[in-house]
This record gives sequence, C-alpha cells and structure tokens, in this order.
Amino acid sequence: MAELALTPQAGSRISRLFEVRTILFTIVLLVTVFLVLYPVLLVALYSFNAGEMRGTFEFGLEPWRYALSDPSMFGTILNSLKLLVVIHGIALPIAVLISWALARTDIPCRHGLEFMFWISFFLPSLSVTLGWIMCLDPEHGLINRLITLLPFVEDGPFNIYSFWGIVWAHIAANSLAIKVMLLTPTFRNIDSSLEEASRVAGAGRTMTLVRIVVPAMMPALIAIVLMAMIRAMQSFEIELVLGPPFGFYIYSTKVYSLISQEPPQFGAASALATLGLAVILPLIFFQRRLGLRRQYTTLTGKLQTQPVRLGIWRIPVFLCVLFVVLLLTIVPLALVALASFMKLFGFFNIPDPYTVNHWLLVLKDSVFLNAVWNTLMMAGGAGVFSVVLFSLVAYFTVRTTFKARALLDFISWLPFAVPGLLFGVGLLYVFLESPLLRPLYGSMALLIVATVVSSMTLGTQIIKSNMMQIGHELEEASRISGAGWGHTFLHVVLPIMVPVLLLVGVMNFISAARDIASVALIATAETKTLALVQLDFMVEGRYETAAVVSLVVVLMSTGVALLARAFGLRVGIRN
Amino acid sequence: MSNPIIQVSALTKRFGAVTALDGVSFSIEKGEVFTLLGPSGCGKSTTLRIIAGLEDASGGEVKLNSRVIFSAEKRVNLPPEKRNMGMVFQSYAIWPHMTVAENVAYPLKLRRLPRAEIRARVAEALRQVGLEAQADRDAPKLSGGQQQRVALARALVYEPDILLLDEPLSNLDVKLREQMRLEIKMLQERLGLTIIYVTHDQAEALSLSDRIAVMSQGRIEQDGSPDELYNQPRTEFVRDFLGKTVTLPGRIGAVNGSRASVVLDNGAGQLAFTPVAGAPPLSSGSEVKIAIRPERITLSQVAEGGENRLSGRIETVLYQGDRTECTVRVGDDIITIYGPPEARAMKNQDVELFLAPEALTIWPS
Repeated sequence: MAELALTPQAGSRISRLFEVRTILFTIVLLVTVFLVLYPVLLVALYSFNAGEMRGTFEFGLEPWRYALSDPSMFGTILNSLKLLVVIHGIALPIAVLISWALARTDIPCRHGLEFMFWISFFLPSLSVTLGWIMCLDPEHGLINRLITLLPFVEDGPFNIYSFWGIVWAHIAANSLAIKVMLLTPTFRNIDSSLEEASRVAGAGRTMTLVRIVVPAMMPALIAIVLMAMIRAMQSFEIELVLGPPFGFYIYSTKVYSLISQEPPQFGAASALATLGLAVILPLIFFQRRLGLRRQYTTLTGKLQTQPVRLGIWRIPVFLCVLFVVLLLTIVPLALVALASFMKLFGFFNIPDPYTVNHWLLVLKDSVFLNAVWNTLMMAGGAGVFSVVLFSLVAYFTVRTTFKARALLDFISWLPFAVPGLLFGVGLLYVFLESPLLRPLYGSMALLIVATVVSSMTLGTQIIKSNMMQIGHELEEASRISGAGWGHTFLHVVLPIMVPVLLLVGVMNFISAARDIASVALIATAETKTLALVQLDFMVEGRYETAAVVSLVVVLMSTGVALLARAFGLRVGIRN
Repeated sequence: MSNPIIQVSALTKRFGAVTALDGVSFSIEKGEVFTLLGPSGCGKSTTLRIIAGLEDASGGEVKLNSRVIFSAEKRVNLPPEKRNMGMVFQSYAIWPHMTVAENVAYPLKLRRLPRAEIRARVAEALRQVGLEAQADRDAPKLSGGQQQRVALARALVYEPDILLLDEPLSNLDVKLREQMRLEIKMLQERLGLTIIYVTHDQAEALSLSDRIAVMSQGRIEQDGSPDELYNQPRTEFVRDFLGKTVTLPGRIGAVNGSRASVVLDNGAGQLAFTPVAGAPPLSSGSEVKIAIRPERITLSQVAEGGENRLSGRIETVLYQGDRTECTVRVGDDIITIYGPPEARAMKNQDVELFLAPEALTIWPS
C-alpha cells in the first residue's frame, strides 16, 4: 500500500493547480469583458458624445437627434430590413425545396451536390460578388453583352448596381448555401414514417411535402430563418461595393462611411450603430428561445431513411439543383478566373484581349505580398488564439460552478448580435482613446482580436455542445484516479476535444482570412489583409486586379477547408 | 464497530428549499460490502459523491481511516484526487482517447510508479477482469460489459482503500447484469475489497451486500443485513421496496403473551402470529394491517382446515415457467401468491392458503 499512496509532492502540486483554476477563470473573464463587452458599451456611450474631436467627451443628444431626424440615417435601417425580407423571402422557399430534394429523394449525386453547396458557403462573398459583377455590370457584364448581341436589343437588361442586384449577390454569395447546409440534415432527421403515413392516407408527394414535412419542420425552419436574418443584419461588404454607385446605404455601410469620412463623425456613427443593435436584439431573443425548444421537435431516435422515389422527375429535379449550385460556385469563380487574364474585362473585341500582366504585377507588388503575409499571420493567430480562448470559455461555462460564469456565457453570445463592423468601431475607440493601448493600434494583434471576437459565438457554442456530450464522469474518473484539475484538463478534456478544437481552429482561420466587416475600420496601410486589398481594388473599379487577389483568397480559405476535410475533419456537414 | 474505514455522520445537503440529504450517518468496516439502496432522487448517489469528494454537503462529516476528509463545520474538503478511492461510474467513464491498457495505467502513472511495475500491474488487473487479450484495443470499441470491466480494473489497479460503485450494472442487459453481479462478488471476496455500492435494484442489493441502507427522501430508513431488512422491515417503505407484500386489513383479536391473532375484515377468518419482541403492546380491537411475503403463502388443493388456513378461489394464473403467479379471491380481498407450475390448470378452483404464523407482521392501519 505504502508505495501506492500519492507522494506529498504530487499532492501539493495538485492543490496549486486547483487554485490555478480560479485564477484562470478570473483572467478569462476579464479578458472577454475587456475585448467584447467594453467595446460595445463604448459604442453606446459615444452615441452621447456631442464633442467633435476624438479624446474629448461632451455629453449631448446631438448624435441621436441627427440619427433620428435625417432620413439618410434611419432610412438605412429600413433599407437593411427591406433587403433582409426580400432576400430571405426568395432564398428560403428555394432552400427548402433543394434540401428536401437532397435529403429525401433519390436524385443522383445527392452527396456531390450537397458538397457543392458546402463549397459555396465557404467562398468569400466578395469574390462571388466580383464574379457576378463580371456578368451583370450594366455595360461590360457578360450576360448583358450577350443579350445585346440579339437583334433589336440596345441595352443590357441587368444592372448589378441596384437593389435587385444586391439581392441577387446575397443569394448567390451564401444566403442560399447556408440554409441548404442547415436544412438538409434537419430534413434527413425527420422520421420518414411521417411521410409514409401521409402517403398511405392518400396524399400525393407534393401534398405530403406541403402538409406534413414542412409543418413538422416549422420550429427548425423558423430558427434557421431567424439565424439567417441575424447574420444578414451583419452583412456589409456586398452593399459596400454595390450600394454607393447608386447612392444606396444600409446601416453598416453608413456607419462605415460616417467614420471613414473626414472629419469622422463618431457620435452619429455610434448612434446609428446603437439603433441597429436595438433592431437585432429582439431577433436574438426569439432565436435563443426557439433554439432551446428546437431539439425536442425534429429528432427522433429511430430513423427511416427510405428515399422518396421521384420517377420521371428524378433527372429534371437533379438538373435544376445542379443549375442552381453551378450558379453559386463555378459560374462566379470561372468569371473571376477569366477576368484575371483579360486586359479589360468584357472587351473581347480588342486585339489580343488576354494577358498575364495582372498576375505578374500583383505577384510582384509589395502591397500584395505584404497582405499575403498579414493574412496568414492574422488568420493563423486567430485560429490559435480562438481555440485557446473559446475552449476555456466553453469549459468554464459548462463545467464549473463559478457564479460569474453566466456573465461569461452572455459575453460569448454578444458577438452574434453585434455586427462585426460595430465591434470594429468599438475596438477602434478602445485602442485609440486609451494612451496605454494606443501603440497597439495598427498592429496585427488588434486584427486578430477583432476576428476572434467576431467568430466567438459559433466557436464557443460548437465546443460547448461537444463538451456537454462528454459527460462529467470522464473528468470525475480522472480526479478519483488521483489527477488534479490541471492534469485532468490537459490529459483528459483536451485530448478528447482535439477533433472539435481543430475544426474550430480551421473555421476561424477561414473566417478570419476572408473577414472584412470586423477589420475594415481597424486595419492600417501596413496591416491590410488580402480581403481588404481586394475590396480596395473593387471600389476603385480595378476588377482585373481584384480578380487576381480574389482567387488567392479563395484558394487560401476554401483550400484550407478542403484540406481539413481531406484529413477527416467534418467541417460543416454532419451526417 | 472496532475501527471503521469510513465514518459518515449527519450528512446534510440542501439546494435552496429542497433538502437532498437529511442527517445521513453510517460507518463501514474493512472488507465489507455496504449498499445504499433506494429509488432515484433519494440521495444515495449524492451520498456516494460526497464520500468521493465530487460534491460537498451543507453539513456533516466524513472520516476515512479516522481522518476527517470532509467536514462542513471545519471547512475541510479533501479533493477527490487525494482520497485514494476507486470508483466505477454508471457510464463507466472510459476515456475514449486511450487504449484499454492506457486507461488502466493512468492512475499508476499519476503515482509515478516505475514503468516496469506499471506494466506488470496493468497486466495483472486486466487478468483479474479477464481482459488480457484486449489490452491494446481502443477503449470505445469494447462492448458495454467489457467497458465495465475496464472501469473496474482501472478503479482497482492502484489498490484503493475503498471501491465506490455507482449503479455500475444498470446500463447492461439482464443476462450480463447477472453475470457481472457474480463476478463482482467473486472479485470482492478474492481481494477482500471494501465496497460502497449504490443501486436502485433490490435484487442486486440483496445478493451482493453484507449490509444495506435503504434510503428515501434524503434519509436512511433502515440499515442492516439483507436478511434483517427483508424479513424484519421497520417501515412500510423498506418492506415494499425490498419485495412484494400481501397486506390484509383486520382487527387485533386475542393477545396472549407470545401469541396473538388478527380477525380479518374480509370475513375469511382469523390469523395467528407472533408479536415482535420489544414492539409496542397490542391492544385488542385496534385496527391493523397484517402483511406477509407472497412466497411464504402455501397453496393446497385439499381443504384441511386448521390454524392460519384461509379458503379462496383462484381467479387468474400467470404462467412464468418455474412457477405461476396466481391471484386468489379471499373473502372480499384479492391477493397475489406464487404457486407451483402445475397451478396453471387450477383456474377457477377452490383452494386453501396457509400463511405461516412466523412470517406475518403487523402494521398500523
């Protein structure tokens, strides 16, 4: 017995680590409060700043008066809402039909098609938008030019720089893909005996889909729509490129222009930002309530997976879905690739229209090379830092009894509600206004913080739900066996979580690499990332150069996703 | 009670207004199998987890080998890793990222044993539970019964002072459960283990334990040997939790020293019984219930008459292979008894029941 008793050294080491847990919790809480809560509060606070200059704070309602009285201000919130309703009104029914076809019917290549939607989701929306500009630009757009070749047609019918152009860009970029990705597994989880019972009772296929399947999925559908709406309130870059040419602003692009103009109008921007938040908060509230109920509605233990036989409709349905998914992926990418090799996009008639000059110029350009380095640093840093932070936040909220963990949980949800651009504004205030932190402004660390915060909710939730599945007993068994908290966390909790942590790291790498909204305001000339360089080129109208950069971004983000998948990580699709 | 290995005194635990534990006390001798038995939510698992150090209590004390390891008053709570206990969880808690051998070796590595000794001990522990061949397999690929054995080997490999088992068999199917029950018993006897066993299954408790404490609503209702609890339950809860009971209402008739009788309300006659020594005196005419375990009632087809014989008629027969379960109408009451397999053919027949006087107990009405 004696040799088996724990040695005294081991004992004291363990008790020190036990204390470490409390210290670590306090640090994590302080860090998240400072990086997440404080910037948001500052934004709200600055909406009451009537002072013109930075650094001075004069209380006043001037910004609010301006934001609420000028139609060009509050009108932008209405624009956001209008876009949101139209985009989801169109995308949702299509997504329901496509996911049903993917999950419940016998169309060929179902998994291949689902995978294409998954790819579409990972394509940076700015690149997809660029591809569609190539098609639908009123003068040079490929489709418009093809149509004007027809007799009697003078002008191309399409214009991407319009309300409907923005709607289309959103649907093509990821409004449709994200819904298909979320809905397909949900459809797959419905017990097909529900459908069969309806068929036996005399209802046809369509009737069954409309009367049984869709109503049974209603709670899941509403939750997904709400989530998509919240994400849509965060949209930024599509409107930033397509909106200003015809004087159209949504609230995030308006906030951006208020801050990037000279002199910047911080007060008005903050007031508008706070107003936008007030619109999103009820959505978050509903989404969370539904999210809690959702798990009881669709999942049944025993699943029947007998697919619905479509008969002669099998091939037509397949072709329709294929057509849609090609519009979301290959078409925009092919056009971007084509554009990158053209002297002037759309001008096929000029002698010798093709060139590799854009590539050569970009690849030699120090701005570009610097941006590649910045992007790798930022995305890599975000991937690593997010995994460390989120796994601790998840652990403390799920597995400990600290009273303040409710606050930690709340903070981890906040970035879901607050658009990335507003966080950018908040971080800008934090780092500009504090003399202690001002030297950090313009450093890579600031960009890493911004992108980590913007992906905090999703990342933490994924880790949390996996941690909850692990069961307390695995940890308790380790404690009983003689391990302290620290040893248990490092040797039992983390190793079991490795696949999930890798997944979250890869996801955050990708989202950081293509992020625009959170970093647009805080990046400086030295810290510009590829996505921002691409945005600059697009806003300047240098589409061919933008196309080159765009392809590099696609390669970097989608490439990492594909690589991770090849290594067996289930990124996105869960079967 | 010479030198108890575990001494639990006056454990109390409250969650707001809810009292989960209400003054639980017991002590356990070395080499004993002590079972906490009760329905879910009675506090048995909480008690075990407090002993393990996984939860704390609002009041009370736990001593291990006379040393205080938990005390609410003195604010002592030794962390679980320093208590040198072994535990098997309901879900087995096998670490999925390790092989079988790595799972078992984990506690030994924490104790910094030389590598060769770890290897030898792991091999021995796996041999004890019959899993030598599976040593290098990934733990999650094992069946439920095998995972359970790994959990057992892992909990035993460092020779803990005491082994805690929290509903270890409840996730197994019936056949395997019976087999594992036997294996645990054999292992315990071979190694002289001290075990605290938590279960809601009375058959498991009765067959494995040296001593059982029946718990209900955070209190120990009664503790004692399985035989004591089964045959001399002190409360109705204990009586009914530990098995089936037939109860018949009646009034105390004659009381004559070591002999008394009850006149049944159903008009079927009267039953003689032996009052428990030390029980409060019975007053003639008071309303009572008389109780007996169904297996102590004998069925006969021939009417012999005499003391403690009641006549009745068999109404339904449920055939169960080795026996039958019959409902018999006696006066206005219907009672369930166990009959021989042949009783299958006795539906609707008149029979006579003999209720052994020494098996009858008296309960307040």
